[in-house]
Amino acid sequence: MTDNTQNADDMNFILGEEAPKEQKKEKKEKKVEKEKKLQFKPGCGVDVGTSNIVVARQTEDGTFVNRFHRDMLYPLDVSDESADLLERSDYLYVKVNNKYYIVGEDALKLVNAIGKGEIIRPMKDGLLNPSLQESSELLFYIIKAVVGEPIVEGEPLRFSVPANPLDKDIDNTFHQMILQNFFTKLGYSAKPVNEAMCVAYDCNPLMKSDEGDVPLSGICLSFGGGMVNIALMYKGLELNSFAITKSGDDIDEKVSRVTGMAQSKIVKAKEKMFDLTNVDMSDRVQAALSIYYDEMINRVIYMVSREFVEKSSEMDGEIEIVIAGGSSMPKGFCDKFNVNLKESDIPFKIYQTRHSSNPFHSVSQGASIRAQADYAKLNKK
Amino acid sequence: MQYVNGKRRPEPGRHIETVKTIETVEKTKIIEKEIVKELDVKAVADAVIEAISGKISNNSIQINDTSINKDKFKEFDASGSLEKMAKEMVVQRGNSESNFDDLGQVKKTKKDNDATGKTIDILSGLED
Repeated sequence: MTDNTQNADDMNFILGEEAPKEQKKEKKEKKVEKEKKLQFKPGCGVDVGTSNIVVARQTEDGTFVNRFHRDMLYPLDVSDESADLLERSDYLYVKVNNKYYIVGEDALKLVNAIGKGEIIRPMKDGLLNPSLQESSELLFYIIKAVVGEPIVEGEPLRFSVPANPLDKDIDNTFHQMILQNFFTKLGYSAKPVNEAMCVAYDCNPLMKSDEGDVPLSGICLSFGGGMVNIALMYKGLELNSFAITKSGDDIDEKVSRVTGMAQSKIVKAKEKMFDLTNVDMSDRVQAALSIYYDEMINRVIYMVSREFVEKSSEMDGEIEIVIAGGSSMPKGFCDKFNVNLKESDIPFKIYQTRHSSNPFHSVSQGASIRAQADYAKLNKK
Repeated sequence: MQYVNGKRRPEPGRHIETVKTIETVEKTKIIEKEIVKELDVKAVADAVIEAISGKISNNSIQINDTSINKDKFKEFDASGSLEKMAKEMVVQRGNSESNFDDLGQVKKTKKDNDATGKTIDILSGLED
């Protein structure tokens, strides 16, 4: 961790680019005030992702309000210079012992501007990174500040958890317990919910059968930062769910390795301008991103098909596939997925592949819908 | 490495491993291997898993012929140990401080209330 720590002197020049602290603070206060006035329905959904924490609540008029923050940290030694830097800037930080940890988007901003050091990721492969106990604790700071307090006593909260992956020996039990305890401590009635099922609750895949359209039936895929989560469901019941490792972060890491560019810069390039329908192969980053995206899509479809064939999965109708997740956001992703799907051995009749209208927020929104159902169930009793 | 009369001669201060020392080391390795063989690794693993999941046996843990009294494991509290560990993990440091109370950018998305309502109806009728 010490190697990543930066001297405050290195980053003083960045201060000039920042808006005045007071002005930003005022804006933020207004935003919070406005949000408080909204009437939320009880039922909080939290997507605890490898790259971002997204919290969703729905208002009475049906609007989802999604609050999101990157779960990243950038360590900075405590010194007069760093204290001065933080005093003059509006970077958000947590101070633990003799270190400041700049949190979220600011961490990414700083590392890109300075060009050295690495940001710390408290999550790995969709789970709390077990090798970073201190930053896991810091992650709770971030989550707490994004989630806020329950709006009714014991408000139901659902947090997304990945399924156990097919291709790596990882068990998510401990991760689930930690988060459940954490949210319970905040005053929520918290339960885990499968990440891919959240996509189904948000997007409602339909199966076409002799009975007509069957709701909440089909396949959902959530392409997250750490893993790809997949679920097959029928009338809202989870029939099979699993995950596949090596998703968006893995692509960033590989592209960084072959191009020699810092991973944080690859993330920015991918999120800002990458388009799978228009790849400039003379640009090394774009070319590498395109190659590794192809590899991921191919591998995922192969493994999904193999899993369903091995489990002899069947559905009595033509189904829909819904795709969501931050790593599915480059333009043309679904078209590439479809091309590969047509050549696969997937044992279902598929009438269409649909991209979620809010791929980045589907998991949190679906979790909120599940939490609202918990609240409705409580009130029925 | 120095050479004297065509033979390698160690530099001054370097430890010389005599044939006898090597033999002793080899013999110790063989004995260690045999001790490990005597322990049933699977039985040990099962006992640990049982203990962690709170299913410790009432009397003792059996490792082949060796009985180990449960009292000897007093320092290992098996009752809900995973949950205990999870609870301990969420205790935050008392000496932390931050310059924020709330975090995050906000993105609003419009959803059809009826469609969400139908999904909630289906889900509230399902067992967890």
